[in-house]
Amino acid sequence: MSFDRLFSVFRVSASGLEAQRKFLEATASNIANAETTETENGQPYVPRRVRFREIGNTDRFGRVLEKALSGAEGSVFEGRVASLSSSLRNRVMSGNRVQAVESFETDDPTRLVYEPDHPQADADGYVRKPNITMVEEMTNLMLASRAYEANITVMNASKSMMKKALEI
Amino acid sequence: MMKTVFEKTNVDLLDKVLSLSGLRQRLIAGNIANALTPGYIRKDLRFEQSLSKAMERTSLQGLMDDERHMPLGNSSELRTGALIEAEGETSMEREMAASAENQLFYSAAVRLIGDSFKTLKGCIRGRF
Repeated sequence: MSFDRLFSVFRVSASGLEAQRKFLEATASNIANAETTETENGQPYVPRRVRFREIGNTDRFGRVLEKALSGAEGSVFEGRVASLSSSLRNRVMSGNRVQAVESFETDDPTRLVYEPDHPQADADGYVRKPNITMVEEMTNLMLASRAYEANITVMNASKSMMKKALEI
Repeated sequence: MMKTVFEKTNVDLLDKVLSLSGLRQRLIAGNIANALTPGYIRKDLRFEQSLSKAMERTSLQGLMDDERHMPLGNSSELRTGALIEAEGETSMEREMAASAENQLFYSAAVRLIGDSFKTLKGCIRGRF
């Protein structure tokens, strides 16, 4: 049992916390810039979007078993898998970490608002504002904060389990 | 001689229970970390069945002098559980409940191991 594996449960939860924090940051930035019509390059603010990606083994168990049966990893005894190599076992039996990937809204980053008095209004009196829906952003905010709390709860549960084990 | 003393306790079995329960906690942590990941396959490990099988005591016991032998009768050996992989939305409630359940289960196993050692210690000292 290596220490690396012993504490991997904390790394999984920590990756969840980090990803949710990034999600929250992007949402906060979108809400703060909901009315920003001018950024450094003169264009309206482009909404930030976050998507989540799983890192680690994403193969399903069957797929990993097939690899083992083909003899690449693990030993095979009369067509049955006698033992999986420990690296293989770690790959199947592990909680996967998560990563937040940030990107910018590509579909339609702006919406037109009729404001003839605005200094940046075009000839027809329309201003280009970032296409941010407050309802969507607030929902994302709730999602991020709830998911963050859930990760903290699991982390605390894992911590108290380890503490408990020290009492043996 | 030493081996037989410990064989009479449940320490071996509980040790495996702890490591499986720790593994299950890792899987649950992964599920919750990936709660918002699209296309994520949730994982879980159930070993209640193999545990109750391992705890069954029968009088008839098959001798195993080769590792390829099948266990017969009481085999008090807990090998592994069933790995469950399911596509679809991760339910936060279910995962949190599983985490809480697993935490209690782990504490119970720790308590039982501690008690086994306490009993042994008591026997060695001659008083409890």
